[in-house]
Amino acid sequence: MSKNKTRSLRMITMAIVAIVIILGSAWNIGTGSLSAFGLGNIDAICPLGYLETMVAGRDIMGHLLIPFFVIIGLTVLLGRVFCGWICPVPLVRKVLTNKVDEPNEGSLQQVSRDGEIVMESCAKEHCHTEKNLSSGLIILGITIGSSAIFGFPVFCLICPIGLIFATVFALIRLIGFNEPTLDLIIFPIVIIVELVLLKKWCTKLCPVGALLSILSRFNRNLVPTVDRSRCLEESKGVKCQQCRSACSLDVDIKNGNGAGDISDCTKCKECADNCPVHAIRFPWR
Amino acid sequence: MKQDKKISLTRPSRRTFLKMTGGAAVLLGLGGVGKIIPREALLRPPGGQDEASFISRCLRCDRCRSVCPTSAIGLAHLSDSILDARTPVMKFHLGYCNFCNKCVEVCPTQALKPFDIETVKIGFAKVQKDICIAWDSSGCKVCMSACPYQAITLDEQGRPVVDPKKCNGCGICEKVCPALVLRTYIGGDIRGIKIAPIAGGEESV
Repeated sequence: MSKNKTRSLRMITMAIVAIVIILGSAWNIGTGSLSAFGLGNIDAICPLGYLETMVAGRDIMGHLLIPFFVIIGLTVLLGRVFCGWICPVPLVRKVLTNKVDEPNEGSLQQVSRDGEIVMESCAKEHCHTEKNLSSGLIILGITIGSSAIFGFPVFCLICPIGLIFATVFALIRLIGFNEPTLDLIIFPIVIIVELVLLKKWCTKLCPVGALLSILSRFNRNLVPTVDRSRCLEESKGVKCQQCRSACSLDVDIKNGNGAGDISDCTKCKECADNCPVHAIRFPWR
Repeated sequence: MKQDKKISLTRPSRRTFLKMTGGAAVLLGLGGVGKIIPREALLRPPGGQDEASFISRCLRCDRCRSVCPTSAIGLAHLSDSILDARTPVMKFHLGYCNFCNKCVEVCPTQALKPFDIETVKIGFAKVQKDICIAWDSSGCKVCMSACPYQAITLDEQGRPVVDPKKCNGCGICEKVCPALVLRTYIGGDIRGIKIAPIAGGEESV
């Protein structure tokens, strides 16, 4: 029941954001896309896009510092809410594969084994699951470095968030101005490669997520807490791990053994909704 | 807690390393291809004539295209080049530029820079002699009457001639040109007069 409720709610907020952007574009209001969404000269700029253009154009662009820091502040305050509730990628993934979030394959294997083996393998090597943070830093470095080398925001060319809206805009141009273009075929292909063929886009590869994840290290709000007296593992000694396997980012909120840290949490609430004894709580509801 | 920190600093596994190398290769390849593939000069919205600066800053966010009150701003496509796809270009067969400055206002990264309305030049008009009605029959002077800057005059045979000094590439001549309608061309953007980009733009100045 509640399982699908949060997920539907997330899809609804994503859809609302997407629809507002599409209407703004179709009715020529000039609101832009998630790369820069705004009215007049006020923009909610993509923080990664800002960093890319900053190094590509060798210019700090002082007028963008305020929106940039507002977005940093919001991320510190709310964590990776963008990834779980605003970004259109999960919505499009739902359309393409009927799954909202990427499956957490890493922990599923461990869950299927019985408790002792998990503990054993954990002690040897599995416990040293490499964290998403280290790969995130490298990804961010590559993204910003390539912009600095070539002098234009390279990642923006293949960013699935940008391409999803670019496809919509190309459709609007096709309908409104009879402009057929190859883009309408190529952009969806790139999106499918990124979201369907590369199964771990959001978890391992997305530089926007990596940037938000690093900023979320300072996030202390909206964090799930485990009521250990109710948790099956703690109170009854049953190997459960449902919370971890439900988390697409492999955050192990109980023991911290997953690849994801709590700073990777996108507040999707899947862990709480999948807990058989409702031992996980988010600060809201 | 201490162990946590240790874990977060472990070096990437081979699989992650391969993924990272793949990602780096894709981005470096894309950047290289984007730079190497020859690009034709495109008609940018006013304030975007310094192409090098423009392309380094444009986020392809769609704000300028969407805000344009005359629908003169359209989108470049992949067929123009990978680098130009989704960037704004002027589509003067759909609308003309009245230099209202709205696109510059909404551009978040100043890819479109504030311009001086007296000196700004988007491009300049070129009569397409094989298409222009006045050039092979006579009588049409629609573009001349439409030009707000008196940049188009008629020669002795009544054919339009553009004064490149007065023309700022606003595109109203291209917008009003009736060649497509009056002749039997197929294809929406054929016009007897077209705005051409100023080669090299302002970056050489």
